[in-house]
Amino acid sequence: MSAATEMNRFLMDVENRAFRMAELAVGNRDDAMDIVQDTMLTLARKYAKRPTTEWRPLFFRILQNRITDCYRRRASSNRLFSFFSSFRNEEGEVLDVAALQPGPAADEPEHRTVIDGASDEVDRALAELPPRQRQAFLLRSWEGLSVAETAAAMKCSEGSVKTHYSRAVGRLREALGAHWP
Amino acid sequence: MIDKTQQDNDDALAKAVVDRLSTDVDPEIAARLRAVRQEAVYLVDSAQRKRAPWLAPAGGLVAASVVAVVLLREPGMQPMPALDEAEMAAAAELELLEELEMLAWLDEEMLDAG
Repeated sequence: MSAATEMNRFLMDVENRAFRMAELAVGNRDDAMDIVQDTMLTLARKYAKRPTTEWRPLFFRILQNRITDCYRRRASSNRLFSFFSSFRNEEGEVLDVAALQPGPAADEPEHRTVIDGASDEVDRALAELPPRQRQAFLLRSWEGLSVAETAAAMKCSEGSVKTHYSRAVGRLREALGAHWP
Repeated sequence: MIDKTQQDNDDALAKAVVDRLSTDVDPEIAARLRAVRQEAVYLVDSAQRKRAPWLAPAGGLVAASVVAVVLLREPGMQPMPALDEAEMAAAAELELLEELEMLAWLDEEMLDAG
């Protein structure tokens, strides 16, 4: 089977889950789509020559890096927003700089739609997990990566993966209530 | 150290959560993902062709051999014009297009099967 056919098969297998992971992480469809697009093309451009067994952890490592980049961009734009918010006009009113704030903040309608519109409580509970816990949980349980592969994807130790995973399960248990196993 | 019962409970919760997670995406997102995948496949295919430049001379050699055989067997025939670079490139593009069409067809087959 050619590398192109292998790549097609691999991406077809992971693309929907990758999109849902990104969407849960960033709470916005367009940002999630950009992240997955960048991840797919980076894998194809830089790592297609690597053995196919390495593609999955590499793919999710790139995905997690892009999600982290998105958080960083939002954090820096939030700092910029806070800085400009401190400006006041001659009457002492805070200047309206809302237009300078790109991307959805957690309290914006678009973000709320993703969370509130989720068909069940699982999406909401997962979206409310801290990012590293959510990553560890989804990569281990949903994607089926081993502890070592998850550690490689998250750029942390295997011990950290186990800790994040265990805390994620604990939080999910609290959030989902007693009727869950 | 997590005991066995705790581990079993955690695994059961994780399984229940994952079973409820949907991998469905709406048709618009599905179409965008498919387009990006095809672009990624094209990149891999192009890189593969660049990495195997011997394929082009080999193809030319085969074509020349065919022409030579035809000319030797039928001396009265007019020689066939050689393929120029543009024609060779067009043939390669066509081959790639056919491969992409095959991959798209494979997608549909796998979706139907799944």
